[in-house]
Amino acid sequence: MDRLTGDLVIAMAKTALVHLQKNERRINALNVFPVPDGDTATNMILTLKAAIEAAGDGPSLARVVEGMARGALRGARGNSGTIVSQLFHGFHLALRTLESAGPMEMARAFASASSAAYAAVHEPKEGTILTVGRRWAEAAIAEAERGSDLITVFERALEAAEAALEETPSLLDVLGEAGVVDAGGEGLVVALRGALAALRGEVSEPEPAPAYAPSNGRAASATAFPNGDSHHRNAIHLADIEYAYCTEFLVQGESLSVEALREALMPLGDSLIVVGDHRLVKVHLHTNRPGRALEVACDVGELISVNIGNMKEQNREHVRGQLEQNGKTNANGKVHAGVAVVAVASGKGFEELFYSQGVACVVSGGQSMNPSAGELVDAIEATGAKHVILLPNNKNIILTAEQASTLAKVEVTVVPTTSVPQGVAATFDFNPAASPDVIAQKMKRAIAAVRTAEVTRAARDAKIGDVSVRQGELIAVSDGMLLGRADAVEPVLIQAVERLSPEIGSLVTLYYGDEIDEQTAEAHRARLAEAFPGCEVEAYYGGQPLYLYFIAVE
Amino acid sequence: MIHIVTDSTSDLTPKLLSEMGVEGRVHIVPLTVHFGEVEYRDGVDLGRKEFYAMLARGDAMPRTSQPSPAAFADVYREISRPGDTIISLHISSRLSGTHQSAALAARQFDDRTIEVVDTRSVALGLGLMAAEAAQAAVAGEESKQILDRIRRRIASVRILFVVDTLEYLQRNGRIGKAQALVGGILNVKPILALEDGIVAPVEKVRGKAKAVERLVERLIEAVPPGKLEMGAVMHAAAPEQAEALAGRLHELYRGARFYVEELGPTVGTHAGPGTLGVVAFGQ
Repeated sequence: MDRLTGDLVIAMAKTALVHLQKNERRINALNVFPVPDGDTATNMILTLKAAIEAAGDGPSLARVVEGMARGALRGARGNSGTIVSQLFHGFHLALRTLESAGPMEMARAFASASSAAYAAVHEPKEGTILTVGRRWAEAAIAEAERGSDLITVFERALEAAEAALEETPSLLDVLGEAGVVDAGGEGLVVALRGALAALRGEVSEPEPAPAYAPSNGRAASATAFPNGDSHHRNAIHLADIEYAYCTEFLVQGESLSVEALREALMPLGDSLIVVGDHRLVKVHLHTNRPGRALEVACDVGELISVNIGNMKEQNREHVRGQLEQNGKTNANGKVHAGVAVVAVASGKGFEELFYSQGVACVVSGGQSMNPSAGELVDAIEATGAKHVILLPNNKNIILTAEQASTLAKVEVTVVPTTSVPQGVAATFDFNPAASPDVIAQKMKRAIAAVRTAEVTRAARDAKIGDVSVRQGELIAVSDGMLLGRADAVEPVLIQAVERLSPEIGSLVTLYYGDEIDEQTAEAHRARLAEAFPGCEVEAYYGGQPLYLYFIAVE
Repeated sequence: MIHIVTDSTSDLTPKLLSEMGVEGRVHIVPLTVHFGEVEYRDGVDLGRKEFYAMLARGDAMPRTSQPSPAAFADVYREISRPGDTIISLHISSRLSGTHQSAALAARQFDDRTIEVVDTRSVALGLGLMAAEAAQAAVAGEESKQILDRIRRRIASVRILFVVDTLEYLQRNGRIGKAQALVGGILNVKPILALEDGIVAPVEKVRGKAKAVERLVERLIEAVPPGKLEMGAVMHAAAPEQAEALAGRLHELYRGARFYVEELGPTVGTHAGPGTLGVVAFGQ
């Protein structure tokens, strides 16, 4: 095994994927906060799957890596997935002229990958997947300089990555306090172990990785993570990767349900996007059975446009073409008069709310379901507008949104909203006829005026700063801080609003999730109005999963 | 002799007229407010207090109707003699047919001069113009001078207001260009203006307190302190908010006086309870 080939890289990626899938729950649970949010391993798995799907077949290393980079960039989900896609982008940049690679070329590709990952993040933090990747690349270069073979270089690099991972709690305070290693870094190490196994020619099942215990603290607990990370996308296996037909259509009807359509289409394939409202829904699906998908649509409404493409064929064309497609080619086709807004949110209430504010497209996703860059690109391009403003509405989606903005064929401005209520504030009084800069400025002012918090149930026992939280207890968190905790909703709401420092004349808005009914929400609203007599308190249905309330004070 | 006539949408009260030194000098023709089958003459047999109490009980939704030409003719005949001049100032013709009734009535008289003016205004926008016209008449100004004075006021008046809900304006067909604000899910406190005699949207705001804050900012942009000649704060069943707003404006406008009045039943029917507004006459 002295040269790295395209076939070998595919085998390594597939084994890395299997290793990640085996460790998915455990890594997902490596959360600093015991709240359901962006699931690191799930996002890495989905991104890696997208890379493998687009890999084509060997032996050309350059072609395989080019395909994987393209697939990963579009398939990137969440911060960790987006960084994985940048690693692939870095591989591609380093390997694009090579039919195969020797140890030094491989090590340089690692270094290129690490640089690409750092470059994608505005304010790179040490103690994260970035650090693990950098130490991995540095060790690979050092070992390759000694003239070692591929496997030895990879082994030394992996050892350095493991050592770096163990140091993450001491590099990043929040990890140290929570007593966990960085989840993204852990995911990278697990994937690299898988890749090494394939490089060594071991095709057997991976041994279950040990729960990683940082040297200074307890093992990260993998217990009782709520249903956030067990959503449908996880149940996909390697054998199912191949879906030939990219199927897109619009369904028109009277009372369409985006959620119901999504559920009906889910079993038919993957890369599913269902967006729209009760009258018009756009569906995007990769499937081997496009006819069945169309049947599902006909059951609920009228089909108004159907587009089925054979992705295998497209892939062959793409591979022949070049990857240097970082956006900015002419926006061909439809021209939209003004600026369109695309927002990410989950929950029927939020969908309706955003559409009522003039948002062109709501991409389903949020805390525990991060959309891929490709889904965002599709939504952006589906608006037909020349300029799109993208609202990620979640900290874990901003990086993916920025990636989507470079992949889309039209101008995109990402207004970095970190919560859904910020997105609501940003789109309030949205004027599509204004210039994109003016709109973005106005939105940034609007989000700066809103302070938000979320109320959910603790997913596990945890210590946050000096406070111990029990599993199942209600907690309010805001931007990395614990604002309150109690066994009942009311006191948590009051603690949270108090900490968001409302003033006389402040507007407090509650967005209630799918577990809360209207009467309960109204009772909580009235109670808050009583507790904060100088404030106006309003309650709206958000319908978000897992989070009882989103709170905004402005 | 010059007589001043207006209609009950001017929201003038005896107290305000006496404060302005023109008690009994402005003749007010009432519009009609209908609550179910019952008809009330605005300000004559239906006062503000009873009206807002009835509105809050929600027995029936009120409607309003303009005075008949005959009602105007009766007043014109009663207050004047042949050779006199009447200046009849009315609510925007784009909000009500009142001006048209007055104009029809005026045609019946050829032995006296009746100037019927569409002020493109309403409430104390109209009311303060009528009171000022009466002051000028008392001071002995000619009718041409008074009419010029009113025309300048019509050109310079700013009326900004915040409603609790657009429902009332919409139900009664007075929503004008603010129709565009209807239909969102979020509870909006719109800032509205009377522009060219109809309701127009200025800005959408969430939260009443913030809306009033923006209204003040908008007012200062439109009529800066030092440029204000006369102003008023109006409200519909929100006296405390109105007093607070007047106090704030008193400070911002360095001691300028803002009259505070409650909107009468006719205007209250269309704006709805909770409405808070400002009238400002700049130089």
